[in-house]
Amino acid sequence: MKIQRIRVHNFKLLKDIDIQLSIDPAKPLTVIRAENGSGKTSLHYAIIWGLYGMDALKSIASPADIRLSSKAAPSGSPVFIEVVLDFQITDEAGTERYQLTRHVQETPQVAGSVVRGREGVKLSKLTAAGDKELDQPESWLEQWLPKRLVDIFFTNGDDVQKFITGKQEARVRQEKVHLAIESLLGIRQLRTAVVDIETVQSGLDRKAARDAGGKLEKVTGELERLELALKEIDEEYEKHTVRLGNIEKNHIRKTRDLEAIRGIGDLDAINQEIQSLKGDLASIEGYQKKNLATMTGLLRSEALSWTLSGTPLMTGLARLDELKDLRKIPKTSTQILEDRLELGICICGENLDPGSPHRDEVAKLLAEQQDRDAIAERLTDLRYRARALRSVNQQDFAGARADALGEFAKLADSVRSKTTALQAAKERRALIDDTRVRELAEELTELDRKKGDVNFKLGNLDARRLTVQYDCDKKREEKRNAERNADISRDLAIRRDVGLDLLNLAKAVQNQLEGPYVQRVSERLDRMFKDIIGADNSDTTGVITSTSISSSFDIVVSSQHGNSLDPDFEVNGASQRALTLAFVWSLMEVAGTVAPRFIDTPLGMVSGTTKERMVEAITRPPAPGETPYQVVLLLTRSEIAGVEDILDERAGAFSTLSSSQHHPLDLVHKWGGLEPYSRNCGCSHREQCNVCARRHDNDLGLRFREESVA
Amino acid sequence: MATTPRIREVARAEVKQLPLRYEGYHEDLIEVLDQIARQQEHMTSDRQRQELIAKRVEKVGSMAASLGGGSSQ
Repeated sequence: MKIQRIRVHNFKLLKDIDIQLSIDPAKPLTVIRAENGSGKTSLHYAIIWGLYGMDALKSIASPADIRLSSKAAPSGSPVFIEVVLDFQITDEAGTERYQLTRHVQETPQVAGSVVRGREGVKLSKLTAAGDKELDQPESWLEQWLPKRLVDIFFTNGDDVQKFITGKQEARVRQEKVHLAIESLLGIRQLRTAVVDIETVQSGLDRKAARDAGGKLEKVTGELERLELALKEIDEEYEKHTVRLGNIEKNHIRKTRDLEAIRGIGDLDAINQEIQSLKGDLASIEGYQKKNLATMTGLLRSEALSWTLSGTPLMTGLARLDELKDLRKIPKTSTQILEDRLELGICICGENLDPGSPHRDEVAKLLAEQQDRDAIAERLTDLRYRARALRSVNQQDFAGARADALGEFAKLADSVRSKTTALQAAKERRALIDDTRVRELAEELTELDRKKGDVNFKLGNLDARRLTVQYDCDKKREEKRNAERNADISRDLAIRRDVGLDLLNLAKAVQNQLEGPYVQRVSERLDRMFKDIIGADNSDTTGVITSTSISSSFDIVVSSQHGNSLDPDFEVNGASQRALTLAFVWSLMEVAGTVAPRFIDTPLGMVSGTTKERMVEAITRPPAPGETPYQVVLLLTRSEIAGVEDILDERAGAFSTLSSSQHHPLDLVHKWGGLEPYSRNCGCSHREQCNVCARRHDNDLGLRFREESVA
Repeated sequence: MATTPRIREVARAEVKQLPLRYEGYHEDLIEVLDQIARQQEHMTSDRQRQELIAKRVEKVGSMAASLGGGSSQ
């Protein structure tokens, strides 16, 4: 389906909107420019209401938005609301044009509520011979554009991000992904078809057996029971396999959570580290005390005395030695003279007895010496006493002091580094939620136990299946023999064969779609996502290394070393949008679905080259052989900034939505009318006119074009 | 066009594995399968869907009986 024209009358503030959309395969893009508050969301809702009615609107809009008419509409006056969509459907037979009209009447009440009349809906096929109204419009629309996939076809800026992510279990949050894959590829329809054909086939088998009677009927009944048992085993097996998959996913997630906590550090290891650091600090404290004692000892030591007085002392000792060499000390002559006088004989042999002339001379000399040499005596005494100093070990105070200070500095450094490490370890310990670690460990143990249980059950089912399968095969053989001997009508036998052919065909197609086709979506998704985020296939350093669709149809974002990323917490907003868009584009391409891709404010969180690449990727015309498509982007001026050239090249239709409420603050021209309303003009992203011109449009270089304000 | 054009496309390849019970049999099977998938949107009950299948099988079966000359029995 490609929508050609949208007309909206009195839907919220959209008074009379008429927008042409591009259906040109070479220019698949339609740009609807609209600032915030101009009616983008209302247009989005109007189209959904036009296609599916109130039920679809209730599922996406809050109850407060359910009123369809403008809140400015006076109470008591009925408002006729209408949406008309012109679209075309192309299939192998060619292209047909259709028109869908939905209308309703609302009467606003004084309290703000409305009384809504019955909706009218009309679907017409437009032909050269005239319009032909079709019965059951909803069924046709369901076939062309299923209501359950409304999120895929019509997305707003926030939902484009929430489509894949959300604060829910992966299984639940990817429900839309599963539904989209199954519905658009036809897997869902084939699954139902297989069950239905099997039921029809069983009916034919029963009929054949009844016709043949006796043994065949009995064998057929037994075979049916065995096949049913086999089916139940398969269903149970499938159920347990899914459960095992969920347990394993849960296990991976919880292991990752635990590893994330352990990335901060293992609690036991940190506690051990803290104890060790405390021990180190106590030990260093002991060394510091010893070091201080050494320094105190140094200050009390002879070494310090020698350092302070050694030089003058040694000079004095040298002088005393010099005096000794000059024989000025020690003072021995006085004692010798005294001894000689006492002996009465001189050294030279002369008589020194009292009265002798020589004795008087010596006595005189002795008296002179005694008077004159008190200083020499003191010096002699000093020299004798200082003799002990020569044997003292003259310690190197400076060296010992430097050693002690160096040791002190080393110990202080060690204290600082150990204290810092201790503080860091304590901080890391504070970050660890001990309870959470315990919980996670317990949950992982429980998951391991459950895994064991499920594997055990799967093993049992395998064994049971083998037995039932063997019995089935035997019974089938028995049935074939019974059939050969029975008289089944030829027509019934042929119908049964045809039913079996149809069943085999349905199963084969289902297998192909579930396998190779989902794989194609997966590969295309990976390529397109990488194109948008700017990663090439050889990039081994990026956070995201690949995206894929798993066998259970989950979108998996992989990082380095094969780790999968949680799209909620580990993928940024722009990448989340890129992922959703890449998924929708890839799936619709591989599924061959021609349907509008209508996106309200898709570039809100995207900027720079990523924005350029995103717009480039989602507006690229299909290559020959690829599925044609239509994309409608509702963009603000700031979203348009930087991608104008791509829009020039890719867009086949333009429109601008504006609201009268923006005058005079932002909107330059007044339109007239008392009630607020939104309207559209044909301006492109390069233009402005009497309807849409805004205060800064001249600064943006937008050229002026004439548009009727009436 | 249905939103699931690949059913028909894949069926064209897979039907070749099945016996050709009459000229055009494969095309008829593809058509039936496509209809079954598409008509699901119009039918709300299991019974409605199964009746449709039974009718289609009967129709193709009649064609096989008259054009093909027999069953695989």
